[in-house]
Amino acid sequence: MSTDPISYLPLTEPTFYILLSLAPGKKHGYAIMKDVRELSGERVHLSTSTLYTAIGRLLDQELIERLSDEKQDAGPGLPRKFYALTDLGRRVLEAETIRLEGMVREARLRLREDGV
Amino acid sequence: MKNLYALLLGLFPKAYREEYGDELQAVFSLSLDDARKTGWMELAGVILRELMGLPKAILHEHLRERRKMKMMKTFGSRFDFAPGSRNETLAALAPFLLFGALPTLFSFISNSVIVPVWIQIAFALFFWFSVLSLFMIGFAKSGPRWFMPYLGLPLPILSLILFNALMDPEWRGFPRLMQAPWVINQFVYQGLLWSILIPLTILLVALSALIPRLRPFYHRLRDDWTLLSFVLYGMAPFALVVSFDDYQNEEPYLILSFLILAFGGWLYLRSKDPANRFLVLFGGMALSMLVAAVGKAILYAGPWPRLKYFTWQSEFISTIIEWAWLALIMLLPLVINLLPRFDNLSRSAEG
Repeated sequence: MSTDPISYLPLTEPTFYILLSLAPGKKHGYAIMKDVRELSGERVHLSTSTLYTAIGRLLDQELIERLSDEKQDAGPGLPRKFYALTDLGRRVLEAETIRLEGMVREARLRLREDGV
Repeated sequence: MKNLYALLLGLFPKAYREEYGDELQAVFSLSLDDARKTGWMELAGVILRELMGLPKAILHEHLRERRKMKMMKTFGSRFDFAPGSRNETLAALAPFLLFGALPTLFSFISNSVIVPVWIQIAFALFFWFSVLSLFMIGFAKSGPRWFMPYLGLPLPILSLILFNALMDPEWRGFPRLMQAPWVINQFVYQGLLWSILIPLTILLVALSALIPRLRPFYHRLRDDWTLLSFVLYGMAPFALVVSFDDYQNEEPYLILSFLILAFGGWLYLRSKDPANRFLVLFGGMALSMLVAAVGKAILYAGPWPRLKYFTWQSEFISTIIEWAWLALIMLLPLVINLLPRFDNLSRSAEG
């Protein structure tokens, strides 16, 4: 598995939001699903199976890790499994954010030029 | 609907179902409950989305399972031993058997039976190549549990090199040390030699925390502090070899000491409780050094071209002093375990 964050870019929109959802701290599957919906302004609706396919891929890529926290209760009806960003995952998220910022900056400049 | 979903989950690969089945059902169930509170339109939307997402996810997971099966057949994965398996045990005990007991046994046999030189060279190369190969494979696999003693194996060698490099023969303390009572002299001298292992061990932990590539290894060390004890246990074979330096006919004692170390390692791999794991390593090291001490005392008392100013008692005590220092170093993981984790420190610094 590559440790160079650039090699994981560009991220798909759901992947970006899943990683972003985990940036403040660990979450269980349903919390990620709700957070992705909220972060995307209700545009990205993940089904359970799509979410877990993405989670499986991110685990294989070591961008996130699966934690089993017996002490902390996830909530009624939820298994005590949490997901958290790894160091590599955080670096990938930061690299993608920088890439997107650059794109937006260039786009704004061009649009401004066109306006003039 | 929840029952239908549970039924459809049966279409995922078995390993995937076992790993994520409960979570998928729980998350689906919560999605339905939340959507029901919002209204029937939302509920219908969720059901439709879930049913439409399933075929693609099922196909994807079957393909992923096939890819994983293919990857499992690669060379490196042959060394992904399950914890507690026979292969893991054999790999973990190889430093004590292939580096220790077997070459010593071979050397013992060649003392009484004439063995052609080429066979001796072939055996020596085989032992070294096996240990070196396992060392490199373990390192490439980010340090699985069986690799820990391999990591400890070169530590005393490094300690010896550093000792020779750092100690100035003109040091003013040496004449004073020679005049001190023999036990104090031995304790200080061996302390100077073995205490270098303390900064080396701390450096090993620090490097694993600071180098991103080694970070998973650092996390494993912090999650289970006895792994570091197992690393330090790996220094015992070399310490034993050094201890018997210049001795003759030492092989039976050396072999017994190596076998005791291997037995301690075997008990470690089978123990679940961290305190027990530490105690079997500590006990294994103590018993093997005691055998070495008794062996040296017996050999020294026998017909042997010994130096006059050493006695069998001094040989016994010097080995016990060596053990005392190694035992002290074995306590280091307990102290490191009390320190805050590097990731916690960096998080609080970010905060």
